[in-house]
Amino acid sequence: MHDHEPRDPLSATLKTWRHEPASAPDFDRAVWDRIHHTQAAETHAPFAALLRFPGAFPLAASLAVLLAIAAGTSTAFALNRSQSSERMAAAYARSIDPIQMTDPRTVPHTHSHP
Amino acid sequence: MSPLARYSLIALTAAALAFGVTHFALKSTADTTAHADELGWLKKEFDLTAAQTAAVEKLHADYQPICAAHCERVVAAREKLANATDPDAARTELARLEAVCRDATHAHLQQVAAVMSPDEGARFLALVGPKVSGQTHAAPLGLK
Repeated sequence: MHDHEPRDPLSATLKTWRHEPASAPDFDRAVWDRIHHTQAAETHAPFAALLRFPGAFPLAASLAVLLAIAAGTSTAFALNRSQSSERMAAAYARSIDPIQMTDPRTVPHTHSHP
Repeated sequence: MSPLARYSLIALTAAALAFGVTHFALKSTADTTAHADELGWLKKEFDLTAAQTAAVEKLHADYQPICAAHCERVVAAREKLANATDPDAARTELARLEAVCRDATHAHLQQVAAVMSPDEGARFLALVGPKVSGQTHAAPLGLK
């Protein structure tokens, strides 16, 4: 009677087997290339991060539209105020300047002469 | 078209529309009030106090007869020049009268500016000075 089965050579081989893969020679460079490429792409598209969050984009776009409306309105107010000041300053100058008042090319003056 | 470009276009359109509508509305309002009195404008534009407003009104009232007299003389000199047998003499007289008018107008502006605070007075001269006869944008009244 045999107490032991004949030893399996495969088992012994697996117990002693070691896998030592050779490192890729350009592994580090490839990783850094990918990092640099990603950073460059984000630099060229500063709002690209928003595109990765579709839920946030409509909110940001709505805020941008509101800001644009505010900017347009305030620019119109500033321009109108400037034009109004210029117009009134010209009218005031005309009202105190005898040369402009009597110039036939300008509007008639408002003095009642003695 | 990308979402970013689409929303940018919408924002630009909204800004342009807001500008156009506001500018048109304000311009229409300004056109209907274009003949508002100049003293009221001075008071509002240069934040005049009640005392300053009264002082400017007095200066304006005092200047009115002077201005009217100058107007009358300038008109007479122009008519004289138009019918003159000696145009050079008439032209010289008109130039002299216009110089007197300019001096009086400049003096009046300086007096009005002196009533205001220094900053507002300087702004007043910078805004109105170039619009008075004989002034250029290069050398507005009171500014060196």
